[in-house]
Amino acid sequence: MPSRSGGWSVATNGVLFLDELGEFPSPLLDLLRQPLEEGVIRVARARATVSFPARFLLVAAMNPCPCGERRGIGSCVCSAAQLARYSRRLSGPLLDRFDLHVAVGRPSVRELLDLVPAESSASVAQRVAKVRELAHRRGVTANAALSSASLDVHAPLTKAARELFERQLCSGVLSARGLDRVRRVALTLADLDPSKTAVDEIHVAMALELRAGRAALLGGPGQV
Amino acid sequence: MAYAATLAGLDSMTPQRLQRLLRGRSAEEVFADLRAPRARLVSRLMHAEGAPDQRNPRTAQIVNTWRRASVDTDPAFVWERLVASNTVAYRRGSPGYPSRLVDDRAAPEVVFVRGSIAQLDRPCVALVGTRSATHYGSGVAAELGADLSDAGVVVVSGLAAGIDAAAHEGALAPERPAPPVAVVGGGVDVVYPASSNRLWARLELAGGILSEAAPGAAPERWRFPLRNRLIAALAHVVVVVESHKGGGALHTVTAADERGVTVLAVPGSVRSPAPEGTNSLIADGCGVARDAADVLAALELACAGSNYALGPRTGPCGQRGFARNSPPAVTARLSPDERAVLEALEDVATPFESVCGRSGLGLALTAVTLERLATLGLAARSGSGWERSAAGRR
Repeated sequence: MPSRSGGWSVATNGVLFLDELGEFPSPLLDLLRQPLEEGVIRVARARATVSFPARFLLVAAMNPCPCGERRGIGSCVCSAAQLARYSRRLSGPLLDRFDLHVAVGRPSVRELLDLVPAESSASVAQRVAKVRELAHRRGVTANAALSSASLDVHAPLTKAARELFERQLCSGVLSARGLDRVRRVALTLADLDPSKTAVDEIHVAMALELRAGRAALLGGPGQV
Repeated sequence: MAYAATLAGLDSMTPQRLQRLLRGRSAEEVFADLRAPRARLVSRLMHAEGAPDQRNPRTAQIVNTWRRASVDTDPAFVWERLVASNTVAYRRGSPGYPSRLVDDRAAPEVVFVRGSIAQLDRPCVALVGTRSATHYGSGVAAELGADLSDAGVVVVSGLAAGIDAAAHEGALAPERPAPPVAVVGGGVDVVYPASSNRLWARLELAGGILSEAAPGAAPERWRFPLRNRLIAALAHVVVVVESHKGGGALHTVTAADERGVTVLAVPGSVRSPAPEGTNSLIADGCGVARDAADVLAALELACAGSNYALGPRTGPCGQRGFARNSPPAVTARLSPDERAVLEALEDVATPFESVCGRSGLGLALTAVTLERLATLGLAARSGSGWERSAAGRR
C-alpha cells in the first residue's frame, strides 16, 4: 500500500505557516520537534518504517494571551491562571526553536486608512537572493544551516559584539542554546548591511531585539 | 497551647466556631468536653450572637465529628508534629502572640507561625493589591517593599501572586532588610499559589509566615477575607498598590477602616482598568502613596505618641521614585543618539517600534543604543518592550 505524504512533507523546501499556534494541541506541537531537528518525519507501522522529508521554514502566529491584548500593558483581562495555562501549552524547547520572535503591535487607525506604501516583494526578494548567494559561498543553502564551528570561521565577532554577547549570557537573558541562533541571525543582518564586513554590535543588538517577543509569551522579565 | 492547636486543626473548625468554644474556657477544658459530650457545649456553639437558641442538625453533626476526632487525637502528638515541622502555635494572650492582635475585635484564638514574627512589634506597613498586577504595579510594589524594608519598616503582605509577591521580593532585597511577614489563608505549610514556592521558603528563613489556619489546611476561598483582616489588624498603615474595581484588596481596606488604620493608595494610569479600584479610593479621599517617603510620613503620624521609633532614613527614601539616583553626570555624558533614545523611553513598558519611531533613529541603531543604555543602567527590557530604569529617570 503506497504511503502518502502529509502536509508537513508537502511543505518541504517551502514554508509551513501555523496560525493560532496556541490553539494546537500540545501532543501535535511536540511532533514538530523531529522535523525541526532532523528534517524528516518517521512514521512507524507494523510492516515498515517510512521516512518522509520534512524540511521547511516554520512560521507561526499567535496571540500573546487568551484575550488578545498585549499582556502587561494594562488592558489585558486574563486571569493569572489563564495566562499560566496558555503559556504552559508552548514548551520552552519548542519556542527556543524559533529564531525570530516579533511582537506585532496593533496598527493605528492612520496606518490602516492611509495605506502607507510598503516595499514590494520583488525588491525584498532581491535582497534575500543576495544573502543566499553569500551563504552558498560558505557552503550552505542558508545561514541557518551553519554549524557553531562554521560560525567561528565565517562570522567573526568584533570586540563590541563579543562583549554584548557576554553581558547577555552572564545576566541569564540569553541561554547557550539561544546564543548560536542569535549569532546566525546577526550574521544574516550583517550580510544585509552593505556598510559592514564583520558581525558588529549593531547586528547582534538587532538580532536580540528580533527575539524580544519571546518574553511576552513566557512572561519572564525580559528574557530573550 | 497544644490543646488550642489541636482544636484549631479539627475538621470544620472555623475561627468563629473556635472563638465561641473558647469563650471563658481554656482549650484543655473544651477538649475534655468534646471527649465526653455535654449538651452545654452544643448549645453554646449554636447560640450565635443575639440569635434565638435553635436545634440545628448540622451543628450536632459537626460536634460528633469533633468528638470522634478528639478521641483519636493526642494533643501531645500534634505538638510534636508542629515542632518537627518548625511551626509554632501561639494562643491569644500568651507571650509570642502578636500584641497588635490581642485586643482586636476579631482576634484569632490561635495563630500558627513559621520563621519569626517578633518583628511585628515594630512599625508595620501592609502592601496589598491585585493578583494580576501590571508591570507598573509590580514594579512599584517591589520598590516600596525595598525602600520600606531598608528604612527598618516591617513589610506585611499576603504571599499571593502579583502585588503581594512583588512586595515580598522587594522587602527581601536590601542588604540588611527588616524581616517581612506574610499572612496566608491556608496552613503555613501549604504553599499557595504554586508559583510562590521559592518565595515561601525565603520568607521562612528571612522573615515570618503566619496563619490562623492549622498546618495542612487548604487555602479555601472563605479563608481569604479573614486573612485580609489579619493583615489590616497587624499594620499601622495599609498601602493598596494596584487594584481593579471590586478586587480582594478592597476587603483589606474595609477591615483597615473599621480599625482606624490609615489607608494609602498608589495612583495608576487612567487608561488602564488595572488601577480602577485604587484610583477610585483616591477619588473618594484616600491618602496617596507616590513613594516610600509618603508612606513613611503617614507611618510617623500613625505611630506618633507610641514608643515606636523609625530608624534613620538613609538612601533614596526621602525622594520621589523618579528623582532617585539621578546622577546628572551620567546623563550629561551621553551621545546625541543615546539621549534621543533615552528621551523616547518612559517609566512604563514601551514597544520597541514606538521607541524607534520617537527617537527618529533606524531599527538597528535604536536596538544597539538601547543595549548601550542598558549597560549604563539607564534602560531595561520590560516584557517585550523597553522602559527607563530607576537610574535613568529625570
